[in-house]
Amino acid sequence: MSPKEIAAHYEARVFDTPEAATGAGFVLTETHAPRNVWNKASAAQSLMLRLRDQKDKGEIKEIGLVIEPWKVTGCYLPVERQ
Amino acid sequence: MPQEGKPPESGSTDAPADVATPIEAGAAPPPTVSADAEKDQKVEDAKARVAAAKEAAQKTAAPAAPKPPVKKKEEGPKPVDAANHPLVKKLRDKFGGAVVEASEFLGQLSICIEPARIVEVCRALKDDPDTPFNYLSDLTCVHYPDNKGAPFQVVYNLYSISKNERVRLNVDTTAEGVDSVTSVWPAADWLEREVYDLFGVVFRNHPDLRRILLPPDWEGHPLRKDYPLEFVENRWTAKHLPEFTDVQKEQLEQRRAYGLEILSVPQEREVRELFRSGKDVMPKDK
Repeated sequence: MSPKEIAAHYEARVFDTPEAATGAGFVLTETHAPRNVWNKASAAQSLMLRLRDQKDKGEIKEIGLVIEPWKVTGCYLPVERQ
Repeated sequence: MPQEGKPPESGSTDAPADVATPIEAGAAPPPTVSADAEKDQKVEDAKARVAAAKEAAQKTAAPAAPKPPVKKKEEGPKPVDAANHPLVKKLRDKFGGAVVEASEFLGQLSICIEPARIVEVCRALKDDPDTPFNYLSDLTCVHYPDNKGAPFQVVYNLYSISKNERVRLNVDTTAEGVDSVTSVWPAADWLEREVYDLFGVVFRNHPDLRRILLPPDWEGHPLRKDYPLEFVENRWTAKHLPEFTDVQKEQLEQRRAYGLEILSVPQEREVRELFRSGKDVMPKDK
């Protein structure tokens, strides 16, 4: 699976650049810069699984993934505090 | 009488008929068809013969067999239910609900066991008089992150040396783990430690459950799906590996930019230290 398919599997928003993600109110987390496509998919999945766990616990509202040519970055939309 | 060996005289009656002299051709032209027409006729005859031969060959030849349909991927072998397998029946008679399901794929029997009863099932299989599974061939684990109720499947591959039979036991569990089978097969000791190290599945009642491959203070379990394939600098590397100089950092950036193997960096560092310490890297011939 490609990082885009992995993001779709975990219902994550996909962004092309970190600026687009931060502009949409997302907070960036880890960035991985793997050296081949398989490792890129693995990195994307590891980011997604960690964010999904946080989402299941209710710590974050929405998850996202920034996919750039040579790196992937996780991001999330924080829960609105009242 | 003409002399023998002499050519006959021109105009004599002994001359052959086809060697017509101009006088004779003018007198009596032979009734011949023109050469072109004769050639055309021969070509037509030959074509007709070839066509007739082809037709006869087609009539006598058997009709071509239809090509077999292309096998689709879905038509490959699939696991089948193995509820009627004698070993499964025996286990069901003895343990009832402990056997969750059983399937057979390409002659390989897999039995899914309830986690709480894995030790007694294993002991029964080992002590079975008909097929004593006295050899724990392998113990491993699979991570299914989407299966939230039981994301880990511990797999026991058993072998009966005397009967040459194999069986695979599967146990679906969480990271809290299952009971250790070291009391049944002592060989499970290191295998369970390996699963604990790489998957983080705990084996209760294990005599010495600690990491076996990674350093004791390593964080994370590398064979889980939420662990990236590629080396990532983490707290352990920051604590235990010496810091890079600016030049080394730049070199690392360049290596990464070229997509080179960054895992080789620690090994290269070791080699560099060997050279700096003045040791002989390769033993010299005396």
